[in-house]
Amino acid sequence: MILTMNNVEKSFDGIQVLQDLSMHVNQEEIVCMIGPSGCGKSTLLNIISGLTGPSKGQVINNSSNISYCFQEDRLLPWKNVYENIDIVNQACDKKTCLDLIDKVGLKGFEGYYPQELSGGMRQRCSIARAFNYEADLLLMDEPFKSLDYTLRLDMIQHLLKLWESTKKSIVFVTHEIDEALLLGDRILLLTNRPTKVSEVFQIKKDKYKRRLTDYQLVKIRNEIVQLLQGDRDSNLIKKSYPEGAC
Amino acid sequence: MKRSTTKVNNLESLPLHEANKNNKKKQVNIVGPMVLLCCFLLVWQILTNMYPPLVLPSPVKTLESLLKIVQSESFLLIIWTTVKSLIVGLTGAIITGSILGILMGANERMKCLFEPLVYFVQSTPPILYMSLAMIWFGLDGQATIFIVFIASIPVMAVNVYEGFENIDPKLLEMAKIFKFSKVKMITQIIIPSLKSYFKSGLIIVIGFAWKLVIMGEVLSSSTGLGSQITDARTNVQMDMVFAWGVVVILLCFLFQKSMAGLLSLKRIRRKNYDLNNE
Repeated sequence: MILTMNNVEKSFDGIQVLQDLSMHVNQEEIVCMIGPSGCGKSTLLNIISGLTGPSKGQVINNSSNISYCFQEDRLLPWKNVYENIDIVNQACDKKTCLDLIDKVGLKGFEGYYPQELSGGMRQRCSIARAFNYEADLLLMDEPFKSLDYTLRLDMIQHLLKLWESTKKSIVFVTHEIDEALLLGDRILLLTNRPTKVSEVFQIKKDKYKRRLTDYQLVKIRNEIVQLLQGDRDSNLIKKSYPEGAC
Repeated sequence: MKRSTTKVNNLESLPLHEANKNNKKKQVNIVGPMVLLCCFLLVWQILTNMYPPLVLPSPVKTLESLLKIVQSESFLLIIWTTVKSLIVGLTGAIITGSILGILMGANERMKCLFEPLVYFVQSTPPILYMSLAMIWFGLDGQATIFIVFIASIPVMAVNVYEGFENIDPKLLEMAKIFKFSKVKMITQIIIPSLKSYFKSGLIIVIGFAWKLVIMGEVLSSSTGLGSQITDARTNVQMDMVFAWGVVVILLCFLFQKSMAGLLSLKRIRRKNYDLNNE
């Protein structure tokens, strides 16, 4: 196991964001996390990466380094595509770097600066950078957030290509069920704040052969939708009838 | 660029670059300013008919004096004297101001220490420094250098400090995740972030210092452009005052524009990353 979290809690200014959250990530595994907006997914990733510490609980990190793909691209505006990818890894030779650029479909754009690229291309550059960093655990925080649907499906293929060549463990946070279904070995469903893992789905099927119309995926999708819907309904009930009125 | 061999799976990007290229060819419209200049000269001419030449010389007379000045032997020497004071004072101010700005931006304690000082120096009117400098340094041009130096420091310091305040914290967080070394952090993130603030500070401070150097020379010195204005005024040669005024304005404009042009020179060459070309 590359990462284990036991009963982690986190609160900001008296607001409890994470409560009693336990999870683990295995070697060479993609773990997808789905949760409602604002439920503390980014906080969870920040705790894993060590940017912030947990208020309570235990985080056991067996990886040497952790790479991070942010919601925004966070590329250096004064560096071109090649330099932005190259900068995180000093030991990286030119061929590996160009290979990565090719895999995310940016071949021919090595010399372009971020402001000359479209949002999708910048995000692909940022993904390539995350893969270029020497790390066995990669955290991805809604990396396809600002992209349209077809481009997302395209990016998932790029991501799988990269994953296959490096076999890094990935924690992929999203609020799009389809992304999780196509990428995840396991899908963790998170509840609303205070966040904990409410359900775990395992998908055994080969990632390259998955289609969103597959029976197994459709079944899981329905279950997730039902759970998310139920979560929302129970919240609505809590709001309309507070303090045990029901 | 190797557009021909580009493999792009989505159609989103290509028109963007074409648009960028077309934008660069901006047409400069000079008709407007020319009309404005003609109107200005016309009003000037009308006014000269209403006042004696001792008060307001005509545009033609001013032009004649200007030609006389430009043709005189000492013209370049006079300019050089002024520019020398400017360069010495300004270089000192840019270096000192930048160091102060960096110290203030990099260290909270330094900020507490120097911030009041910088604002104090900034709030003091330059004419006050002038009065002091004339007593301290005498009337041979050193006073001019001093006021350029002291009055330009805070402008530079505040600009560089602003740059520090505006470094994107998200980029710093990124650097922390990817374990950038201290040196890499400074050279790859902090310095490039400060660049644009440093540049704008430089352009502001040049215009500011140019006005100060002339003021200093008018009041305290027997050399340089400013002293020529003083001489002309003492001799009641209004046409000469105007002519020197034109020289001063043109030179200031030229200085600022050429510096702005110099700073905005961008890397045009796009690096080639084709492995086969090595």
